[in-house]
Amino acid sequence: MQEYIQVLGVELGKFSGLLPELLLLIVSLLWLLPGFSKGQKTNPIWLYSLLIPIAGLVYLRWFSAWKGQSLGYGAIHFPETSKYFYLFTAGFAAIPIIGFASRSWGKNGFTFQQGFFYLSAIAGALLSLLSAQLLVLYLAIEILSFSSYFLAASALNKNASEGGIKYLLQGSAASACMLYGISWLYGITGTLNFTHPLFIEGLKMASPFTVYMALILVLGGITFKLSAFPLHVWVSNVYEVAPMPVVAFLSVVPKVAMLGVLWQLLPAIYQAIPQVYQLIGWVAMASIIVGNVTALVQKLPIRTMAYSTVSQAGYLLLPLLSGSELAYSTLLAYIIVYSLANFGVLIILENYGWKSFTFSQFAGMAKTHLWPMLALLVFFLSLIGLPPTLGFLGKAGLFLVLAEGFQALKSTFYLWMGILALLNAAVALFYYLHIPYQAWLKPKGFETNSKVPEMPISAKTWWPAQILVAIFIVILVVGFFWNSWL
Amino acid sequence: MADKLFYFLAFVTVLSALMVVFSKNPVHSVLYLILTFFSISGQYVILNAQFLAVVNIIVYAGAIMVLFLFVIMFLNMRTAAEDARKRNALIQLAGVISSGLLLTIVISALVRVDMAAHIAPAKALNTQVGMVENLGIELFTNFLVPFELASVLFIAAMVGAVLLAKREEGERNAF
Repeated sequence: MQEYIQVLGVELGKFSGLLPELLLLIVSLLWLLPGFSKGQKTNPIWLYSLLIPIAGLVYLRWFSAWKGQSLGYGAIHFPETSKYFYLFTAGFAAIPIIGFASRSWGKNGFTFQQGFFYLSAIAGALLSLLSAQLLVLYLAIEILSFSSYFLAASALNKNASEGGIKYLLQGSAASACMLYGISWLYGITGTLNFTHPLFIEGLKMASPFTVYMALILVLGGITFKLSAFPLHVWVSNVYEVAPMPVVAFLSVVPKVAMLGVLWQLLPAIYQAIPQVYQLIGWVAMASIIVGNVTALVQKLPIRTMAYSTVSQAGYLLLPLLSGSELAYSTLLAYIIVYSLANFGVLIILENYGWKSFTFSQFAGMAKTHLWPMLALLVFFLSLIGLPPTLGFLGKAGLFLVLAEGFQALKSTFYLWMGILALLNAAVALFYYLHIPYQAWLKPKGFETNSKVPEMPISAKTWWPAQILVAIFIVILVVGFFWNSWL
Repeated sequence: MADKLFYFLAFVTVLSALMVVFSKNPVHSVLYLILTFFSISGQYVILNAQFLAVVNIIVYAGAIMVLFLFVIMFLNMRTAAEDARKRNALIQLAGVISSGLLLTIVISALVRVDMAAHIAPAKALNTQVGMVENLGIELFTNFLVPFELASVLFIAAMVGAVLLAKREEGERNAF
């Protein structure tokens, strides 16, 4: 008996490197203990207590626990390049908690179940960043996905259930694709561990066509979480029905995690088949164009924001076309710009009660709401990538990465990508500046005779949100002038 | 002997799988699906993977099939099938073309796989790999992390299912 306990102790000791994530999972279960009544009212203190495990996680990983060695028989690894993706994922997951008041989480405010799913979604995202094995990656993404489905449906009304079910069905299809692709990769290489030399050897030996097919299937699951082109259809629906904090979470955290995953996964594949960058390029370009065009024709700002994240996902994929140092720092910078600006817009739309407004309802609002409109303008300028904001540097970095790739490989593919990305950045002007255009240039009540019902504007804004918005603006504007870090 | 058994089981598998797709009555489809699962379990036994064979029967033929039957019997499938027949022929054509193209791509990719090149000569085939003991050792060493993560995934899925299905007092059934 004692021997077994000793063996168990030694075996468990091997997993001490994973302690922060295990603690997060255990702590997430605590949110299930207080009761299981649906839509039960809770004290907002429970919502803000979600920050404690997240802060603990960031603290542990930032200062000590980023060990170099792998564990769990090679299933988990801690590559240096993943560290910032990890910290961004955990850190950005905290912002929706601060930026939205408890009442934004649903009819009855924040519920315990939402707390559980929120923490398990974070755990899934973080574990996917640490995984060195395709099976672990798949399961981590599934944990993230399942938690997201229920978070999206957690407003508990009829629309939310419908949106959640649609999200679930599309997600299941995507995850089936991914699992099938993983089984192909396993069949081709004979190993699930994508950091193993055998994996690259196996990919080199196989026919490129087969590898492409397997990779497309795996990318299916990843682009679903990224909300990139082929599997982006869920985005607008979920944006409309889910509570705003969940929307903010889903628009940033899974994206950052999946970009980190791709940053780990793609180098192995590039070593075997260098031309794969064209595949990523096509996905990126298709997302940019499809996202932009559909965003242009939307009537509701929230749906425009949804489709604009599809095109932003395309821009976020561009640095992955090359694995250089510049691409890495550009990707991180673009993640910061996109996340802060996106959070900012969603926080303002929710806290002023503008979530279900149409564009024409914003007419003349600059007179009554000057500061929120100015803040929105800064965020939209960052999302477009125009000069007085950090967004300009982010977009400029993307074009530098493409130019670098063009010089290195002498492939006109990079050139065309650059031209198309530039043209699409101009298209983005039209829909991102639609709200500021209405607010500043249209007189108030310009379209009151249309059938749009007047919505009461909530005067009670959530004060931490205003502080957050102010901080974001400072980062986005000061970052442009003080840019030695780029 | 094993050869003949394989061909017999393969024939039954393919035939019953086709019947799943082609039979008009959804209940018949499900019954053919059970037959498919049983013949696949037979294949596992031939491959000396007894544990997998039993699990396949318990999980697929047992649990999942019962779930399918329940769903089919609860939802009135006959009206749904009639609705589907009325659907636009253009959509059906598009579906046939796109899935046919996908099938072509998948098959042409699979044809290019050179199986002999991937079986490393040093790694001799272990015939006992499908036994419960070996599988357990694999599961609790090399695949310990995925195994434990699967349990986390099930907790999340279970809590979500309970949450969505639970009805509060005074709340009425949607149907």
